[in-house]
Amino acid sequence: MKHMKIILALLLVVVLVPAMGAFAQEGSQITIGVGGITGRHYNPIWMTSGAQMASFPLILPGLTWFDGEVQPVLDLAESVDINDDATVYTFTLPAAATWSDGEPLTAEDVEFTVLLYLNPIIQATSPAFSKNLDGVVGATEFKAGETDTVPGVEVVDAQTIRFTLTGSDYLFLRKSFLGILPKHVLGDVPVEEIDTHEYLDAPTVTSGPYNFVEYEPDQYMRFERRADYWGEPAQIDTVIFRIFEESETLYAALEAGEVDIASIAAEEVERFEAMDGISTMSNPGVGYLVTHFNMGEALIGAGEEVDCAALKAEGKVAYEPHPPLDDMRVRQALAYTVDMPEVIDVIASGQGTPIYSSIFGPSWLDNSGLNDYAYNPDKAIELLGEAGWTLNDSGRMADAEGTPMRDLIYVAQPGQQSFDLGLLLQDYFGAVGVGLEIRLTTSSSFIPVVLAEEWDLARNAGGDFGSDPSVSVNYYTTCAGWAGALGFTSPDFDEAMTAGSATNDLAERAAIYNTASGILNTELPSLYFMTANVNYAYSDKVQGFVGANNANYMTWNFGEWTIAE
Amino acid sequence: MTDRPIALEAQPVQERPSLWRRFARHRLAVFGMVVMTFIVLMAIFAPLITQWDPYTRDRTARDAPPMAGHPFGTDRLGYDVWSRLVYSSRASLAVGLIAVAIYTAIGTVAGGIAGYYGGLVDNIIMRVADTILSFPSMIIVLTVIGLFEERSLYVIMGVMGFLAWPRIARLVRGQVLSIKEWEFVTAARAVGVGSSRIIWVHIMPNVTAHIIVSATFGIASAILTEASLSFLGLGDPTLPSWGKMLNEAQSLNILQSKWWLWAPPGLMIALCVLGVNFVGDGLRDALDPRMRQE
Amino acid sequence: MLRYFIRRLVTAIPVIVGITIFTFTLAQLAPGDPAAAYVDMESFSEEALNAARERLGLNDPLPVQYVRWLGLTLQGDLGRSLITRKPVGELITHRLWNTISLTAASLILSTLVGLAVGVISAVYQYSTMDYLFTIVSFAAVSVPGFFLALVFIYIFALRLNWLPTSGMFDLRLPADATTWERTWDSIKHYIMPVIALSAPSAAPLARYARSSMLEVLNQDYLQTARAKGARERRVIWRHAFPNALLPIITVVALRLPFLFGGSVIIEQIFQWQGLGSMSVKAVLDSDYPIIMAVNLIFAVLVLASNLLADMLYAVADPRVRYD
Repeated sequence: MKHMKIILALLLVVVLVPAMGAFAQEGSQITIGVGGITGRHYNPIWMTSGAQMASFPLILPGLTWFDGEVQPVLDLAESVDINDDATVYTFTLPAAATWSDGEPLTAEDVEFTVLLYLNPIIQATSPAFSKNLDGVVGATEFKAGETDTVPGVEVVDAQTIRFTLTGSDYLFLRKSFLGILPKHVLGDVPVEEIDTHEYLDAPTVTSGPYNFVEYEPDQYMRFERRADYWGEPAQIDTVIFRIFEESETLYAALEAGEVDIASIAAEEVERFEAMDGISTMSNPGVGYLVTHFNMGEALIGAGEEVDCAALKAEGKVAYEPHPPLDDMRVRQALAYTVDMPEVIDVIASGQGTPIYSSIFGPSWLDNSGLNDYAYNPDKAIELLGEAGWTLNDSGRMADAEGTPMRDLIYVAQPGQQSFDLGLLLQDYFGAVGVGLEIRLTTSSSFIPVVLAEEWDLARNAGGDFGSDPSVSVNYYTTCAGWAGALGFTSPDFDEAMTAGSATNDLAERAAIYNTASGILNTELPSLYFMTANVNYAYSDKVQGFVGANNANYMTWNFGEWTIAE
Repeated sequence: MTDRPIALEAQPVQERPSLWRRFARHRLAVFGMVVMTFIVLMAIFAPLITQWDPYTRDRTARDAPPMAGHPFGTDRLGYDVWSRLVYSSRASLAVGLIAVAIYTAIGTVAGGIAGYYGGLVDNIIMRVADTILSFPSMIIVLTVIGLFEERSLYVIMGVMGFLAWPRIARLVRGQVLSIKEWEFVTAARAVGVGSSRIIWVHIMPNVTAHIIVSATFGIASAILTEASLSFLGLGDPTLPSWGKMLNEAQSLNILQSKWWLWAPPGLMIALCVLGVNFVGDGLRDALDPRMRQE
Repeated sequence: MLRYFIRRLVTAIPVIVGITIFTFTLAQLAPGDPAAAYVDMESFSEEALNAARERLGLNDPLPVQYVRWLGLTLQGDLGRSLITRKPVGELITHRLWNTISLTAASLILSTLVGLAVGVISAVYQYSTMDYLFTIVSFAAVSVPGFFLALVFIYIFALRLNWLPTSGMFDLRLPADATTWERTWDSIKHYIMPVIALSAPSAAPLARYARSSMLEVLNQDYLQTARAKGARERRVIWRHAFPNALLPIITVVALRLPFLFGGSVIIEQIFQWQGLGSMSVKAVLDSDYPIIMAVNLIFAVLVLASNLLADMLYAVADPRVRYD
């Protein structure tokens, strides 16, 4: 049959097509696999996603950045001078620093960028990290549109910029990582129109070791090494950040050698380790997995117009109790039902470390005194008994009158991991007669659901928090977002947190944070699970990669990376 | 298009001889029927053929390969794969049957009314049908499921049911239009038989064959749609279904090293859909060899 | 015939209006709060949420929002994404071509394969080949698309190393690559998605072509042709095939919505930058303007293709009545 022959011929073409070899490459090249970009613009001011955090240091570095342990290090700045009580930070820029178009990079650019970032019009588009600069004198007033200047930001000379803070803050270097933008490109653009300026998605003028070549949304970013770079040059000629929405697709590309390096899920480590030409790395993480307990609802005594801050000043913050979780013993009992090694096994393929409060991480912090709530269902039943709950004939917890406890509600953003955690908790709680209903929200309805208070446990997984205690727990301070939703308030805790960031003496800080950690560990406003490892897989061609405890900072030592032939 | 002998056409479908024999001649259809019977029996007698409760974890054997007590191993949480597979047949069959029942009912009524009464009613119904049909079904189902806060199986069945009726409506309308002109119907009208009697006694039996065939194929595609929704993260997260099991296993890692997680649900979906399709094909041949799938 | 065309166009108008109302209503019913995307996960509050809603114009009454949307849409302004704030029109043109080229390639492939298989099955009815094709084509519609795609990637990209795993072109292509190299590279990226997308569509077309061909083959004039001594191959391809092909025009057009629907899954897994993968993301993000635009575009494309098919059919088949 003639037509069969044509079909066969077509099939042959399909088979032969792949026989074409890979393309010859000129110069060294690396392809880094990253997740989707969620920010409004591909610009440091709207930096919200890992793909941005991994790529901006190569083109638009900030004064500081983070090392592999997520501790702050100087990046664009050459040196920093901090006064004794940590209220004045003076950064010096290298005299040789230039933009890729030849213009000098000066303190004026820094001032311009900070003011742009804090500008109320830009603020309205919700840059995520602007609260980092709230401690700068005049920043909050400027953000609110009340003033035209920020006295706390001061250009001393072309190479020197000074930040003055409203109070002691030994952690300001953690907050000064905002990528610096070129004033000579954007300075003349009215702020109202800046949102549509092409530079915001195509930063063609760069200060880092790379030139920006192109950015195709949802596909890739491409950078070429700057020939005229003023600092220590990078060693790889072309860098491609390839964007993946589906992790399976990323893994396939990694396995096929189309991508040279990426962070991977825990359950993939073993498989990639077994592959020829690919290595894996597991770093301890700084993120956490917890479920918050809803222990209190609306503020008491504030009437219609609730002003938490005012009540806090008077020390009168109190919440409508949300039974049965308003009882500390019930919360502790539930913690005793959890088989932590199993959780870590199921959720993170064993690649994680348990945490017992959300203050964890830095090596100088000693968490040994905390209760680990080791799996103990009998203890759980005993504690529930103290709280007035006993098992009835059908194996459910019931109060003194015999009324069974209502099923608790677990809410979480969608996702397999969220659901698996819910199933585990359902199983654990069920073993002591406490029912649990799993409700996965849509990603956009999670916060509204939490604010509506129709929940008992809410899953929360977060990023950078193990890197420093004050960062990890500021949402437990009275009136903060989660604290309000949880109904948690503890003056002792608030005090410890304030004191902690006001001293630079590590031993002193460790002691203060241990106190705060103890409060969380006992009061248990949340059920603490673990900090998961951060795992990478990378081609053996990639050398000099050391990883980071947060995958967002995986390129922190990019200057040392090389590609072996 | 073709000159059908009117006398033969005018007989109500169920009186045709040897329907079963004609069906049985289609060997694949018989195979499909056997497969479907097994799956239905599996769904009904699920508790009898499984040892583990599908909602109880075996904490001593998580993520285990096939072993004594767990013929298809267990998943990451320690659920017995065999047991989930058996119980999933209930969800998958339910999605198929209920979604199709809903849209077949709506479609038949809407198409019948449109075809029989014609005029403005017909116009309105068919324009609404055209409107819905203009949206690719996967996309519109996806969008509408996205509207629901809770993605239970009921929601999925309902959404599929309420969005797929126009196809049946078109089919029924077309049939009604042509049957309306047949001699025995015009005769019945002439002697003053009432509309509803004409519709139910004279027209519907002749349309049934088409509806049954179309509905059979519909069951297959509903089962696949449920699986695809699970893949996109829009399925029912709480209820085990084959689609959900396959979705949980859709990683290259599992594909490569844990066949017991993906092969059983994959095979069940394929077998079930294949079975339903074969049955539909056989029915079509048996009821009317010239009937076509739209 | 012109009158038929005009009538056909006129009946399309209420459908278009229906499509816009339907689209708009759907987007309005969506749960979740797009404003939540503008609120910080760690320090959120009711006030911040409300301020974001106000800013996005989400507090206006619905008819106002509909009329505003329709007016702008007619001017080609589809609004801005609630998440990225980029113009929807720009985001979509960016991806529309990718989806159209993917679905067009799949439509062509599935039609060719479907016709070939269908005709062969019909000519050799009840042969082993017929049964084989029947089983294969049913199997093709019985495997979920995402699974088929994953198996393809596993076999052709990872084990055999023939094809790229995903994406639309090789990012590592040197800047001085020739047009030929670029085309070749692009073709390689098309192969798997196109096959995965066409498989479930080729099967019903094959079934349809088979029965259509069978019907024609049994008709009198073919017997006459055979009696006159025409060779069997000539009978099949000259006489039977064109007649069997005619009703298939409509069926091919009807495959389009299925291909668009299938593209959702295929684009997602092959990292194809089309409207399908975009709509999944938009649904999960409750990004109303994008959901509306994507649905609208798909619906209009389907409507247009149906119109076109009807008209082609009318031109091709003189037996169609134009009343």
